Amino acid sequence: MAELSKPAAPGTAPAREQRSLWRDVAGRLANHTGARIGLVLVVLLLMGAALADVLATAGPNETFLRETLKPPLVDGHLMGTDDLGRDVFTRVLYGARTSLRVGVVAVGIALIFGSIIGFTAGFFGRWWDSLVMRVMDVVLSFPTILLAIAIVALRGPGIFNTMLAVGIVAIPVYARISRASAIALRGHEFVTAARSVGVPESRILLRHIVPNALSPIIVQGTLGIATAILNAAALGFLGLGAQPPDVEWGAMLVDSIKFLFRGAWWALTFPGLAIMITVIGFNLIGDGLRDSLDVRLRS
Amino acid sequence: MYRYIARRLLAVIPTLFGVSIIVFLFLRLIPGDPATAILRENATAEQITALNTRLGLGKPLNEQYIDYLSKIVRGDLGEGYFTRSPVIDDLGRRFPATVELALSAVLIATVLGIALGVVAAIRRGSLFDYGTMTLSLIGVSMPIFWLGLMAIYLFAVDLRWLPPSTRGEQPETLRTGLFTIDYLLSGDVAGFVEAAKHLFLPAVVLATVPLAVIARQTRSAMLEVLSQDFVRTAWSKGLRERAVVTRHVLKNAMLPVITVVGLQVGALLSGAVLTETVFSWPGLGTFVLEAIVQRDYPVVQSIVLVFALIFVLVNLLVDVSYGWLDPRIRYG
Repeated sequence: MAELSKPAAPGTAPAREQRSLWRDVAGRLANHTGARIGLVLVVLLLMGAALADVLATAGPNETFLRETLKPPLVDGHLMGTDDLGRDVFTRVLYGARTSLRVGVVAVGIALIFGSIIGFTAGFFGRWWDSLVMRVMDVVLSFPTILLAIAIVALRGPGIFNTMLAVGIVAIPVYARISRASAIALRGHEFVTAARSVGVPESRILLRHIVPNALSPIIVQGTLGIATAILNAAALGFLGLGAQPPDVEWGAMLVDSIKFLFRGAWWALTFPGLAIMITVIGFNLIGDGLRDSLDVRLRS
Repeated sequence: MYRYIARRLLAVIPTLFGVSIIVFLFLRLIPGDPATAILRENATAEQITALNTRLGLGKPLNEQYIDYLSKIVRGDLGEGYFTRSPVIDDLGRRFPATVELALSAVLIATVLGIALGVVAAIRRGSLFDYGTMTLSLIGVSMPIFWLGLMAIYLFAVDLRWLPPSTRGEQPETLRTGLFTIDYLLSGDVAGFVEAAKHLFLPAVVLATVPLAVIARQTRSAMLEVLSQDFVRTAWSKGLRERAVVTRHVLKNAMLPVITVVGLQVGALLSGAVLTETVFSWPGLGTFVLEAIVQRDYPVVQSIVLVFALIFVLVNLLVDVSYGWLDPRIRYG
């Protein structure tokens, strides 16, 4: 059946053709300047998060009341210390763990639920399509941050609920993309061919539509990690994100406000830079993937 | 065309209806009731029940919702539990603050974003192009509350050029509710300068993300149009650069840019919540956050409806503008 359903390139064995697509993409990605820079940033970040225990001079929540508000590069504090004498560099490293986890899990939630909704809506259509897409439109007309705040208010602050909130607000994005792909693909000849030889509908969707619609979802997922990290930081900033002892960049920023007026710019600057660099990294990889996979996203 | 607009306006109703149900249910699912929030810890259980009953919260949910719905269709948004004043009055005070902030941000973002995008596209591959695109990447990747705090630190704490927060002194006569405009209307130049100083940092901070997105989108839309045949024709018949760029390329490149501007409005409202918090700007964003904490149901419900209404109306405006920008587009 699978052979029959791939009339796109006659004369090529389907298995080999598929492998070479991804090899092609990897090759183009490696030559993409932006993607390279993004990859370096993300790898550095992953290393920082993985080696936090080794690189850190103390625990992320250890306080040293004699070393409060030290500026950067003084007494071995690369990024200075905060009002409780905690080392900012150490906390930035541990914060990387939180942000990466939140970004990946939130996108996972959004991607799985969004594409189930979108693919079934686009492929089966009819009342199911109108129902779920109307619901998605309603969700989209809420400002993201308010919806996320409401979800956290409902379930209480913390890392897990942050992931959940940030993931849920992103569901419509994936639903729309996968629905559009399913609609575009369902009229193709290979789908008709599969149907005519008796392939069940569910199998057509899973084996023929979904694999052909993955590119835009992968691109959006990568860019989505960036958005998720920003939204999670915003929740942290509003005091609704991760709670101590979990270390989170957004929460570090809000902590730093109270001593900002005493001139301690470093506790504000470095966590913010960390967020920015992470987000730039994922955005660059996402852009690179988009160029390499040659997909056009509906912005 | 008018039939199209009318049909779209009718379609707004079910969306708002859905939004109203979701907000209504969500608020009541959130642990903690308004009476406890108002009376604090030392109230007795009887007092709390009595107040909840007085606020109409003792009834079953469906009755509460029907009460609420029958009021809003008559234009009655109810009274804030905490503010103890009609919600419509508070909205009247808070809404102009958000409008002033958001409009300034949209203005900065669109004008600068389109200008940067156009020049970057024309000078493709130049230092200016790379610079603009790098800055735009940084712009979309920045947490805007962080940018706001950094701006406050630099310009208000360190350099002391600009005030760190609030809208400043309220003008004596309020006509539009936009402080800068009201000062201008009453001819008070010093007042205008003061209001503009307060507005400057929050507006620029809120404009950052849309500015970056618009610059990127303008550039890529321009590049696409620049490579088309009619542009080559325009060049070859000897038109000056200004005429080619503005009359032929830019007008045709505007469609995707307008779409992006419309889509940014949703993000702008989210951004306004954060920006207002950072700058203690007394608009709808800070109001809705307070109201969520205080479980002030009527206030939250009304503000979310206002946000949703703005979102759908702006998107309708965007769709309608397609036909104006490109007469080939017909509405069916």
